[in-house]
Amino acid sequence: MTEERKAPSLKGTRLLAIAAAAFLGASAIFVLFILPAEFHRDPTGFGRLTGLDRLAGPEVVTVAAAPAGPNATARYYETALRSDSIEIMLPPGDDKGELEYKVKMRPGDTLTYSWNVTGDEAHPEWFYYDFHGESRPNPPDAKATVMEYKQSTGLTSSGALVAPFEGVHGWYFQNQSDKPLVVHLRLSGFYELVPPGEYGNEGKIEPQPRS
Amino acid sequence: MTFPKWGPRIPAALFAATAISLIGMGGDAWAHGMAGKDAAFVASSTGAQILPFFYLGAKHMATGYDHLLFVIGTVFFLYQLKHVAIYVTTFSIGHSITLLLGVLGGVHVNPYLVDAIIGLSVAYIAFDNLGGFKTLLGFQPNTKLAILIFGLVHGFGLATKVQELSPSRDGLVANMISFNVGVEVGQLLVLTAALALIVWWRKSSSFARQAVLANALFMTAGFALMEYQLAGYFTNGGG
Repeated sequence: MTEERKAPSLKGTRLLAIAAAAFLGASAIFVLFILPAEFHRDPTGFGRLTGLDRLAGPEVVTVAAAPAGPNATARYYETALRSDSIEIMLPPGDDKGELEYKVKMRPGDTLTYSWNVTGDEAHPEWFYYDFHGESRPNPPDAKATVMEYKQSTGLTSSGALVAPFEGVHGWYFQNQSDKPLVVHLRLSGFYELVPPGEYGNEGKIEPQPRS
Repeated sequence: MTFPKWGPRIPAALFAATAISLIGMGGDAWAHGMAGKDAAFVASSTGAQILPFFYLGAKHMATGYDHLLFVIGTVFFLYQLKHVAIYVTTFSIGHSITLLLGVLGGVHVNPYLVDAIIGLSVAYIAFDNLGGFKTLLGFQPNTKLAILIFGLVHGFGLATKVQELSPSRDGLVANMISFNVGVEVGQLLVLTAALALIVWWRKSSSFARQAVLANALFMTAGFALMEYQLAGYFTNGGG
């Protein structure tokens, strides 16, 4: 001890006992309180018994997001989200009762959709659809690409699509019933509508005016 | 005192209450860093912000129980103001060097290990206060040198807290000097209050006995802080 300090003088055994008690006391605080409350470690069960372990909250496991590319977990777009409502009339009969409606997407573009069919709710099996994407051949004598997503019957479908390649993506709808049907389609995401009459929208469907 | 029975205990009780409230003031008491809007301010401000950084430095010190325990432990058995000034200045020189060197020089040290050593420094000074080295080991390591070295470590502790917030390079020198001056003023304020309490406490007949207990508790707090930070080091890694 330097002479400026006037500390009480203790015997060696007492001092040793104090230091040991301090260290053991600190370790008891550490094991009983700090470990369960801060580190999710509860070797004595004291944390569970007293509820201290709940202070630590759920244990967090950080997992990596898939990086950029076709499997990217998070995607970013230059354009704002768009939403469209489309109504497609499908009268009965072989020549008028079928139609393709698609939208333009680049690889990685995302859309979510929901559609339902009204007009003949009793016969869902009489409405057929083919959800797919295709690209125009370029140059014209090259092969066109088609990717099938889902072919089925039914009066409703909801889902999402991440475009696998540049092209038009959407549905072939076929009314096999004897009544006029209406498809109510809602789209949201990052895509472009095909102008009526162009490739992907040969049925000249106009979107509903925005409300 | 005119309270024969429990009168002498008042200073000790006040001291304990002050120490406990200091720990409570830390906000996120065990992980003493800057948080909330203070952190947002440091992260977002550019250019010289003299008074805000001065205030943050003072606040950080005045609510930083780890630094305060060490400072109070240092002056616990000093009876002359001259000696208090020498010891505290030694500590201030130490932590100022590494605070400025760390932030301005971009020296990065592991915050968990630094905080673990800061915890150990509290236990060390309390052990030294009780004459631990001389009595048990037969020699007295130079206390002022120990305070200087621990001061360097405390400065790195201050630096890591500032570095975590990535302050702007623009105006950094002025801001860090302001922060450092704030640290010293905050330390002086709390030290004055602590010394006043200790001087009063010393008049009590049971001071000698209670002083041993107080230093034993300092040691306990220091060891607990050290173990806490070491657990953080081994859990959250050396990053």
